[in-house]
Parts: sequence; structure tokens; C-alpha cells
Amino acid sequence: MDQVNLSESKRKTKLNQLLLVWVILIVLSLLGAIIADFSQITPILLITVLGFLVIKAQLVIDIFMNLGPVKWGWRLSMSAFAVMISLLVGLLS
Amino acid sequence: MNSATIRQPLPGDLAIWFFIYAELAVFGILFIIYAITRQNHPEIFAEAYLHLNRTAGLINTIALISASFFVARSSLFLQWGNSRLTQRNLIYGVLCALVYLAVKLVEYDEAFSAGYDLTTNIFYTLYFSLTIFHFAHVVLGVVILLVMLRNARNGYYQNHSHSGYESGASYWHMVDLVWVVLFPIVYVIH
Repeated sequence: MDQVNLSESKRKTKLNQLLLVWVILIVLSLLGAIIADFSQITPILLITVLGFLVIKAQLVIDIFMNLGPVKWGWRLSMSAFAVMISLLVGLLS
Repeated sequence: MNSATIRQPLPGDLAIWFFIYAELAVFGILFIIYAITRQNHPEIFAEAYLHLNRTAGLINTIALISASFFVARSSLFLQWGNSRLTQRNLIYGVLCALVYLAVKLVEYDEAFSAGYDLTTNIFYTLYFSLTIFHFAHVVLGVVILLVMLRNARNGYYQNHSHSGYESGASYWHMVDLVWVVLFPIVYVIH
């Protein structure tokens, strides 16, 4: 019910936060697509791509899934999925 | 304690979160198998990568991120008691998901027309297994979003808990999260 009583400015802030996250996710995806066109993925580019992956996953988890304000254990275990996959892919590439 | 430090309850039912973790575990295993196989067969993956439709991959990324964005907005509007904007954002989310499904079908059609299928080589076995598995999740997600839309139109959430809606939205965000991981691993790293 707290959500219903949020002031108009707080609602706008929440909507703007979602919009900002959407823009960041699109920009990082476009940068990833640009990197995909490189003839060779160097270690620096690989780390960059995997860094984008972790940032994007964390934004989806915290903002879209709304796990940011939830007990840390849930958020951490969800974040571990993206981090572990990135580390393994990085080590195996 | 200020509002920033107050811990909120998990959105949706607890059961959906166990389901989401189980799904992520399955996808995680598939991603690891993909990475290990790529390390063992670099030449097959390098050759197959040249035939991947990376533009379709990017369009699908934008479509799924946008769908998740609209579903997240619809959840907020539901909490704020605005049924009209809840439904509108949910419709936008469904439309973005349908864009994903259409582009993916075109991508599969191109691949099958070019003679590539599950049996072509180890890359295509993993590529089709991974993406078709994800495709099936998107189809289920669209069905769930449509049920949420129907309930919102019927005013169901005005008289009942929002837990079912939040569970459906959480499932959809999981589908998006998996693609956020899948896109760089399959379409970018080569």
C-alpha cells in the first residue's frame, strides 16, 4: 500500500530510473554488437564484453526484477549466476 | 532506519523463485557446455560463427530488453492502481516479445534453408538446443503475459493480491536475464 501513496515526484523518479536502465542496457548491447564485428576478440575485448554482461545482468536483477531492495541472499545468488558464467566463459575462451 | 535500508519482501510467490533458480541452473549448465565445447572445437565454432545472423541477435536483444522494461513499468503502474497504464505497458511488452519470436523464426528459417540443422555439427547442435530451449521459454512467457493482461482487464488485481502478477513478471525478467547472458556468449565472443 506504501506504493499507492507514493508522491508524484517519487513515481516519476522510479519511472525515470527504469528508462535510464533501459537506455544503458541498449547502449551496452550496441557496444557488444560493435565488438562482435571485430575480426578477433582480444583478451581486453573479451573482458570488456564479459564486463558488459555482468553489468547488464545486475541491472536486470536489481531494477527490472526489483531484487535490489530484497534480502541480500536472494540478490547475491541471482548475481552469482551471471558472474560465475562470465568467469567460466572467460577462462575457457 | 530510513526507507533505503528497509528490506522488501521477494516479489511474487516463493515457489516461482525456486522455479526461476532451477531454470537458471539448467541454462547455466548449457552455457558451460557451450563454452567447453567451443574450447575443444575452436575451428568449427569459428567457421559457424561467420554464418550467424548477428543483426537478428541484436534486434532480439533490444526486443527482449524493451519487453522487460515495459513489464517492469506495468508492475509499477499496477502497484500505483493505474489499470489503464498497466494494461498498455503489458501490451507493449507482449508486442516486443512477438518481435523477438518473429525475428527468431526468420533466423531459424534462414539457417534451415542454408542446410544447417541440429545434426550439422557440434556448434549447431548446441546453438539450436540453447536457443530453441530459450525460445520455448519466451513462448511460455508470452502466454503468461497474456493471462496477466486478461486478468488486469477483468479487474482481477483490484480485488486480489498482486503476487500472481509479480510472479509472472519475475518469470519474464528471468527470460530476459538468460538472453542478456546468451547474446554475448553466442553472438559476440568468437
